[in-house]
Amino acid sequence: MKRLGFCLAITLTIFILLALSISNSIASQEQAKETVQTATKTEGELSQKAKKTIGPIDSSLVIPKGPQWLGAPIMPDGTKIKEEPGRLITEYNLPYDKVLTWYKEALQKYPDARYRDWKEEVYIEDQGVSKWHSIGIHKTGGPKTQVVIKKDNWSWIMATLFIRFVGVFVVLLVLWVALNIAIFIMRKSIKEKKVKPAPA
Amino acid sequence: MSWSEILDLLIGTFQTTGLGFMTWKVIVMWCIGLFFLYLAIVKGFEPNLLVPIGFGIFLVNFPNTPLFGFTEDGHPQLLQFFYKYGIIWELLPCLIFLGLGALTDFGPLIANPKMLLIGAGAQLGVFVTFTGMILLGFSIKEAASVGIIGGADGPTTIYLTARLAPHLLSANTLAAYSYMSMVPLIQPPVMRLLTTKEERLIRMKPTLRHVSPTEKVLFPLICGGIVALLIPAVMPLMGMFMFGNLMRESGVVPRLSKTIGGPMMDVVTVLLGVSIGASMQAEVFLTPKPLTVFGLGLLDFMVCTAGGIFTVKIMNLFIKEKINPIIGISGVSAIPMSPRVAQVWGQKYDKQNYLLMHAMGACLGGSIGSPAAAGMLLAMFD
Repeated sequence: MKRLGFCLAITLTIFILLALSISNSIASQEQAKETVQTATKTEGELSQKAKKTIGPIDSSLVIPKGPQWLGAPIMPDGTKIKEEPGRLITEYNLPYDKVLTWYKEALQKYPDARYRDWKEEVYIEDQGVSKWHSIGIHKTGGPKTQVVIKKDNWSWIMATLFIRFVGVFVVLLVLWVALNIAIFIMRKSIKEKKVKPAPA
Repeated sequence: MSWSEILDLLIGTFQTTGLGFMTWKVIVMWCIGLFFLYLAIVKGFEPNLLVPIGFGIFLVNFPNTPLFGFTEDGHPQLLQFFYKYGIIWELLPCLIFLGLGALTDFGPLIANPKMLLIGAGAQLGVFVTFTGMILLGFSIKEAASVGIIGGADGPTTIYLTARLAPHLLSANTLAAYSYMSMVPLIQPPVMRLLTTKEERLIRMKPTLRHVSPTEKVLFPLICGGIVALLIPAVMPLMGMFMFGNLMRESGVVPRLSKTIGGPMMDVVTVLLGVSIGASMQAEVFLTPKPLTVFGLGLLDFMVCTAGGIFTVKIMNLFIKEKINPIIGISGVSAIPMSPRVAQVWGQKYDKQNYLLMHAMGACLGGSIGSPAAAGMLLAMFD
């Protein structure tokens, strides 16, 4: 019986090794074919790379070709007002809604852009792995629109984490206080009931 | 028929089997699946979850098996169906919470509500790991989903990851459940490192005050209401948790309570486990990101344990009746393993010290703290 098991194990191992070698050769042939195909391709190469990536992607892989700042798209025909390591401010002789439409189209294929419509600006936040943190499109109301692109920054990350950690304490503290109040009221009412003489 | 035709026929037949598509990655995944089955069957670690997860991993990593893909018409195959509607649609984690609610007695927490703070402090690792993940180049959504592993709360981890980083679902879930099952190995060294012998000898009352049924009925209403007001993002989980608990404590629906805490919970656990296991396909799992997640998850769990201990130490500065810092390890919501560990270690130093019920309170605090932390993280992306 032991010998039979041993023989079966050896046969199975040989079979698996054979299958592995065949599948490897098939895979290498297919890879060779793919290399030839991709060598002739030039357009859409970046978007293909983006498709292959599992998880979040850098925005520079999916935005239209043109000027960029840390992977964030820059609308053409603007006047650069200020450029610092942490932010870039550009101004356009266009109304706010046209600038917003351009940015929405440019970031159409970028899944990690989050839009927040605030009173004074539309704030596009990057929730992916791109190096920019946000694009703020100011609603000046006039014919000119200012766009501020900010770089990822640690002060934002640390501040938001601290606030949220404190937030967990606040929630549980509120619960603690509420529980204490409820228990206090309940105990008092039970005591009062006990003290009250029963009707004759 | 010529020899070449026979050979073609043989090769054709061979290619319809899975043998022609074997890779080393597939074999590695079998080993991982079998390892989890070994942990569950031989070692007895979290068998209810590790058996379905391990078998799911084993099953889905056979090439050409129609289990986790889509049919030619685009319909999900069996395990893909469970995964899509159960996990991606966030149904199973919420149902698990419903069942947990029906099984949980919040008495130790109601009797000693300050234990809630230990549950909050134990979320420290969630935020520390978040920072670490960002440093390693992960996105903020990925960092948030990995951070929550430290809370030792499987359904919350699944819920948050399915929302923020579904591609890390298998790694995060596996890390969460693996570390939960390894509580007796991971937590004691952290506890010994961060506490003095005098602190470990702090004696606590052996029993807690009696909690009336009315208090127990009011608890899910108060807790559910407060969480709904402050962190509505996490209400699918907390709402179900408190609903299940209300059914249990009200005592008027014993049949429903028994069913959701028993047979329904069992069915959901099987579907959840096998779907998570099935999502661990070699091409997805054997990449650097999931492996990093697995490594950082351990650190996360240790920092969360440390967070609970530090919170007790800080609380001891302000309160009259001191708390034994061993209880701090139970701030993570690994029920009942973590309170048991606290009890065992407490009695190693003082045989007359009964920490179980106090540790249970801290653990229940953690079971609320962990979804609260998840809600805080989810609110970042709303």
